[in-house]
Amino acid sequence: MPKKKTNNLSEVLKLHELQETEITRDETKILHNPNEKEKLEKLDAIIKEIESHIPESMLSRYRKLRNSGSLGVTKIKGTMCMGCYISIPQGDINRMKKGLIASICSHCGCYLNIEE
Amino acid sequence: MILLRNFITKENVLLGFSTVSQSEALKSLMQPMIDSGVVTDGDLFLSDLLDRENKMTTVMENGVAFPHARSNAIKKMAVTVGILPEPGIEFSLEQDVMSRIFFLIGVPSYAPTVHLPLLSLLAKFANQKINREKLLTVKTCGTASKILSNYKGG
Repeated sequence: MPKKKTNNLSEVLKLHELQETEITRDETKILHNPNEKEKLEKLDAIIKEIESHIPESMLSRYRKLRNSGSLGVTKIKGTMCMGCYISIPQGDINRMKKGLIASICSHCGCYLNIEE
Repeated sequence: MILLRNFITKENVLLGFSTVSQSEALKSLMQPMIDSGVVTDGDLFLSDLLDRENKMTTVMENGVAFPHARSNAIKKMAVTVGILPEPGIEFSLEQDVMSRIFFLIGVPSYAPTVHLPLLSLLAKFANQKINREKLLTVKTCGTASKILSNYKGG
């Protein structure tokens, strides 16, 4: 039986890169005058480029998380999700590493960047 | 509500330090964080700061610089304030302005947005000319930390 398709780690890494760039955009909005439009346009172009490498289903789930005010992607420390600080079973982390299950925290729903 | 007094004490204010380059300034500014154990790996934090600066300048139009980075080398959010004597340095090539006031912010990578309210408050402080002038004329680190600690964003 074919394995169920899950997000692979490189897609989660891209999603993490997207989140980092979006936060940089937020910082730029705070630090720079609204008439320095070219700064935001430069970041918007980078965001668009990163988005083009991420499947639509992941992007829309990520957007829902971000729009609810939480992070869309987070790291783990040991086995702890750094989004909700709840431990994830080691077996699940191993399955995420093998791509057998999606890299998503079962408690808070954040995508997990489980890169070492 | 975020309070600057929770982050800025006289121990993390640097007055009149000398520097000629961007990375030298960053090294000086991160030293109090290394001394207090907040930064666990100075080289990694420096490289994260330079990466962030390359992505987009953190220097405001008025010259106040807010170098910051999310880093695995940071244990908890921390700030160092630096005030350079005249003429300051050109911290970023992107912004054609000399910088004399610096707010270095270390952000732990597991809490990537935790600094945004702090950044916002410090930017509001730095946007007012009178506040910048006050900081540039202080004689002691204690006075600088007091000025910032008393600022509530009004």
